Amino acid sequence: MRRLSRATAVVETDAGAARAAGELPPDLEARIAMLEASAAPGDFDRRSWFWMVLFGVVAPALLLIYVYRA
Amino acid sequence: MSQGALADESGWPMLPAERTWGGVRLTLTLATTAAATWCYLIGESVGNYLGFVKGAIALTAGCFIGMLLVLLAAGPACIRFGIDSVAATKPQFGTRGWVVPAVLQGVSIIGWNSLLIIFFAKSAVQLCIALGLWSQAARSAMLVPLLTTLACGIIFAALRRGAKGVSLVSNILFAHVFVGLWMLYLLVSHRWPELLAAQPALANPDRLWNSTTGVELGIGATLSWWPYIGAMIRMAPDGRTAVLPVMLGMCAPVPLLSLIGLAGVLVLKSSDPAEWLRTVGGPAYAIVSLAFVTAANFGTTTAGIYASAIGLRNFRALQQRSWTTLLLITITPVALVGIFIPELFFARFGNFLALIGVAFAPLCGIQIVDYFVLRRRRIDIRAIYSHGPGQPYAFWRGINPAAMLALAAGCCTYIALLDPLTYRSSRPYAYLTASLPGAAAAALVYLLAGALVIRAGRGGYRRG
Repeated sequence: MRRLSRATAVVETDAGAARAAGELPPDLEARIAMLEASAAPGDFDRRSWFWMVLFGVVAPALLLIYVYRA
Repeated sequence: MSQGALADESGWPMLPAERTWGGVRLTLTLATTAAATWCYLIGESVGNYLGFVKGAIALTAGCFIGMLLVLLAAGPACIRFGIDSVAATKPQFGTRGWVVPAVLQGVSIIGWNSLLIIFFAKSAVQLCIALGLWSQAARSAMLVPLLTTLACGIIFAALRRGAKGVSLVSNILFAHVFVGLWMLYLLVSHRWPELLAAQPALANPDRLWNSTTGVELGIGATLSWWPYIGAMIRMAPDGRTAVLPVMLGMCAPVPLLSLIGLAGVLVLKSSDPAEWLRTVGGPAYAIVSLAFVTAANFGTTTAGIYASAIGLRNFRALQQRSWTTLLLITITPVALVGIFIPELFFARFGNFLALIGVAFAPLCGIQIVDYFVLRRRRIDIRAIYSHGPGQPYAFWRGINPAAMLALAAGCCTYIALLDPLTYRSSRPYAYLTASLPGAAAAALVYLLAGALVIRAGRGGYRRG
């Protein structure tokens, strides 16, 4: 948060002027700068994929086999 | 205003330190969002074609498949950068083309919320009558509009706290999920033999068609969560925290609570528990169910208004507007529909929503193939918010023709397989459903057209 406040303080451009110039509003610019500077979090790790495959593929497949055989 | 609150209400990316929702909080919020009156209607639709056991299983399978599609489509960008569902479409549709999914989101959420808020008002009127607060004779046409206005006022007040308001309402109303299960237990325990013997009223002679329609309804139901999911999972710190709450918290309540409508329409020819609980258990049970319906609709409407207001932030003209103004813009159409045309909207709602649902399967197909295949999981967060010409996601004048073409191809494929208004279908539908080929067709067209976009050096793709 302190880093964000510093970044916000550095970018003191008025938001309206920034928009007119095609730049990002200062707060948004600071956020994006922080996200770019830090290691971007990944999307899904192995455990996430396991749960997605289990509930999104395996379970429906088993249920469908039952439905279409019944 | 704190930086966290600013991002919460601005639609800007959330920083890792601000994304503090754990698994339990996310599960509660998602479950409350998913568990609403629409579950009864979904169950009723399935009950028209399938019996209780088969209908429940087909619906559950469809819901999980649809939820996986939505999670794979909107999830990666929302989870990685703390953005909402609409912002996550800019890499595919472009810095202007994202308006198409934004309009779909807005129309879908406003439509759903109008239905729920009218349901809420009607249930509240019935509840007051059942409790003796109003007499049946005193019931006037003004009560539904008045209660609609009151509900909108309460939601507005809760959401002035941003996502905290959604979470607060969710914590209070989560108990209604268990009340729903209790209602289901009552019906199943009282009428089990009848339930097993009940025949669906509109069953097709082709049993395969009936089963596929049960699956299709499940897929369609959870595809409707696309507009909601981004605004919720962006509050979680990572994918690991979000996946199980989405697959279980957001998905599982839908088939579970749909069983209430499914059982009701099979045994008592009514999916509304307020009607059949009176038959099964007397007026006391009817009061409990009415309180449940009222609470369930209130929770979902709150989450929907929040997601919709966040989506509006993507419009440049609204970026500098206050959160209060955005809430007013979002709530006003819902209130107007609830006040002036509640009955007309009820009558036309099914057709309206069916048409909206057609678009979400192709949208998911496009997002999945773009992120996992064409971009190989690389998203430029700066480009999502940079709207000038020459920016990576500007494509041609801010629009990616590949996405528009793919969306059209997906919608046409869906409609060719299944007419969402009449439910007339072509033969492959019984084997394939309509949503999955719709998503696959859109993905394929996007893949082919995307190769041309990459060749032209547009869209911020890495070559080779």
